[in-house]
Amino acid sequence: MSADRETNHDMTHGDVTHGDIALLLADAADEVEIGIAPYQSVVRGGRRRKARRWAVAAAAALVIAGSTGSLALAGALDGDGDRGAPVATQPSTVEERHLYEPGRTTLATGRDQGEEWRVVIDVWGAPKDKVEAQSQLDAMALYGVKPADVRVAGDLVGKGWVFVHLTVGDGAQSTVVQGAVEKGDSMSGRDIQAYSMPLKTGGSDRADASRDLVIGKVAPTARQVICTWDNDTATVVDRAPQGTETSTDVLSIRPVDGSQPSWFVCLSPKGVGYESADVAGSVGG
Amino acid sequence: MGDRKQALDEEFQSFVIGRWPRLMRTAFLLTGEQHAAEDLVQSSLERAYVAWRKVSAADDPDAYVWRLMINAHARKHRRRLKEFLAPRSDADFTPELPDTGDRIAQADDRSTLLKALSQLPPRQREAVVLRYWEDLSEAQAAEAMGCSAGAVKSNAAKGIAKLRAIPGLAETVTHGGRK
Repeated sequence: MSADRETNHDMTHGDVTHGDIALLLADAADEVEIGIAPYQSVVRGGRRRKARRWAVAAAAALVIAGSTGSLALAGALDGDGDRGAPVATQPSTVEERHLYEPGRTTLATGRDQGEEWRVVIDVWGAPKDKVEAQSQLDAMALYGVKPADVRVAGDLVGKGWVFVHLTVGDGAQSTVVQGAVEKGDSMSGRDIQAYSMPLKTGGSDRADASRDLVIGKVAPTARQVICTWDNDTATVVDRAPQGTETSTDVLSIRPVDGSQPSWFVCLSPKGVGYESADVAGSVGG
Repeated sequence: MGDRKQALDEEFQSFVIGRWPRLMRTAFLLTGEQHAAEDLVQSSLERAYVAWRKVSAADDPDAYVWRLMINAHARKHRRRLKEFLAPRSDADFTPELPDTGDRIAQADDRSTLLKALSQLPPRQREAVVLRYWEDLSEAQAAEAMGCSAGAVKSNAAKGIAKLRAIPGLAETVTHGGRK
């Protein structure tokens, strides 16, 4: 505290007790036990907040088209693009609609600090009525997931739902992104939504070992994404070539069953944080 | 690689260690309770960590953290209209005042003040603590509290008036407090 507190305050009220109250406050404040600043706990808490904020933001913002029944897989090419697009179809069976079992796509896998990590995305189709919605909620519970902000089964009618899960080592799978899929949602051109979170592998609490995982979605026409890090370096992620099996260890832009946008994953170098992500090239753009 | 991030981490660590004692004292005056103060400071610093890149680039990281802390304090109050603080439930509100300098008397004075603070409405308590403990100007306190300087002035004046109206405290103040 500054020693000249008493002289700094307005004494025009002729009230010298202001200074006395300041002294009493200072005295009372001395009663608290200061202890050692819990720096590591603060950092861990801060990282958790970052991850949570990211997941909440993602849940609020996610827009995936394709699970609503009328738009199963919209090819959606801008202009006269050269990418063969799946044609919109009307799935008929419960299985095809991924009503009680999600369509699952592995987005990326890797190894860091001696631990394997994996990012998968599950897309659940939209129930047509409350009965289907209730059954879907029950099925989701078996998968250990629960759609956010859904209070009653009826809230799910007409909406698909997407969950992105991250698994690190032998740890439990955690849901890092989730959100509703509603009819008419789609991405085009250079649209991008990307979210970063710390990849918590062994020893990653060390500042020089921590890495950020960036998961995002782009239009199905996007060919390349550039992830820029906070040391001004960048990582380029290309679209996985069509018609070939690209290892999930190769970070790529990938189409996802039931999702109009394609998804990608970037991983920062050690000790470097996420700054931004941009679409660098797209068909017709 | 990662030099910038490392520099930010080191800067944040230095900030946390350097400010912890002062923030703890401020939080203690706001909450009136040891663990609540620790929680308030830690959660405020966690929030500062999330935005540290921007915070450190700002002219006054202290102002940012004060604001985080006042917001967190206000949120807690909104959640629970009556806070759990009331630091010494068995403390007499008008304690007998033995000679100043007596350690027991000193503890009683602290107790009286903390209880009196805890009974102020949150905005008045915040204004009093920021103005008379943190020694902020009205403008600085207004920024931390997210209100006008006039509102700070009004809240601080009302808070101080209420503190002075408390017999035990008034007598202590009248006697010149402790030195």
